[in-house]
Amino acid sequence: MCESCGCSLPPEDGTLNIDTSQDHAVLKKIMSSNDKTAQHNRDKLNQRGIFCINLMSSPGAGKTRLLEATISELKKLYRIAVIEGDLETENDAERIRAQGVEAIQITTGSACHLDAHYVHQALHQLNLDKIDLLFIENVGNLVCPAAFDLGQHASIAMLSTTEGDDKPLKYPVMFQKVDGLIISKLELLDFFDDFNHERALNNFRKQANQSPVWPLSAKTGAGMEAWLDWLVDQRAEQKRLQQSLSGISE
Amino acid sequence: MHEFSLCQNLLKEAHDMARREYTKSHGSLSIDQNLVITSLTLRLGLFSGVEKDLLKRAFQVALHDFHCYWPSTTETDDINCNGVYFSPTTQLQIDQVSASIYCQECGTHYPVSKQSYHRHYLNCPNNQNHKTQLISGDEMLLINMQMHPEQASEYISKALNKNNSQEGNSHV
Repeated sequence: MCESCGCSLPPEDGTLNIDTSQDHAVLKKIMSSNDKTAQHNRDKLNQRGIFCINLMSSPGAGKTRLLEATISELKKLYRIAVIEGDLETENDAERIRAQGVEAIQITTGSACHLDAHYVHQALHQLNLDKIDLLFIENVGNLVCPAAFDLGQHASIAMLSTTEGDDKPLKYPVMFQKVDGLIISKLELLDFFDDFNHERALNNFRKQANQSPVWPLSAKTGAGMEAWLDWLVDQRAEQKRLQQSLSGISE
Repeated sequence: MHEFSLCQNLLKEAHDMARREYTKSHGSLSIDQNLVITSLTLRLGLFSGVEKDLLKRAFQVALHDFHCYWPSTTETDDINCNGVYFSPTTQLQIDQVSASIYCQECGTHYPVSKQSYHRHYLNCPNNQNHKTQLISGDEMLLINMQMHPEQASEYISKALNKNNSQEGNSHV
């Protein structure tokens, strides 16, 4: 490397030696460009009273299936939209559109996560005045998405019963940060009996996370009620906040 | 994870703030002076999700990709560089810091090291309960920059002289 880039030149005449007299103490978040856009996204959503969820899990945990079940229950109450993140294909967005709600597909190419800039672009494609509840289905991955604020109001992780119940211990950053945990595919517990949802819950708590946990089956509907109630409460709270905000500005 | 894109962000933030930070302690640069950054120090929390060794490797690639190299050439002397350059040997120093939790039952803060995390995760080390909160540990901060001004013309002539004296070395 040093032979081709010319970097072997400077140290010999001493001009680029590290020397503490050139130190400049600073303090800057490395993610600040993402965080700024995320806050911009959140402000836009707040102005309209939209409640936004960032849904994260490993691939195949059932994020799209859960959204289908959630939308079919809540679409009478709310105007819902979904932002879908995948490396390739429109498949997930088409499944959501089949529910009669708007879906924007973001194909990230090879990027392993969504960031606030992707979401910002997607928000521009939506008519935000006609949305109450916005879901962002992140790229299936328990590592990278955890580090990126998108502008959501709540981050939810999903863990399916076909995965190990020690996932919360294996992916600390993800499970420390989320505002709720869904344990999905409960209907498969009979077949995957080495998954113990008490143990999964216990492992989640070991990450200093006191957030709600919803064991449920999107297929049979078992456990869905508590999840839906939570969504309804959160959206109502968000609406109240918006009203009080617009009251101040008037 | 996404160490490369983190490095891109880091270089951008450092580049954007360099002139302002330099001016704070030394006053403005004269018009024929460029600012050369030679070292960056990052503070990474235990749960920042960043792998130190991967980050260092990615940094080398991102640095070459950033196109604001010192000494500047017509190719790198982009208007976007705005007189602020990175030395090709820019160091990335990493300061890894432990995390901390607060136990609601004890009413006490406890530090969390890699070792203590492996023993009892984020449970309270005192009574093993779950009533804890993660207080810090996800930091990703740029905390120090080394930089100094360079006279554009002098530096280039020095580099050119050197180049001539090593004639025949096609790598330089």
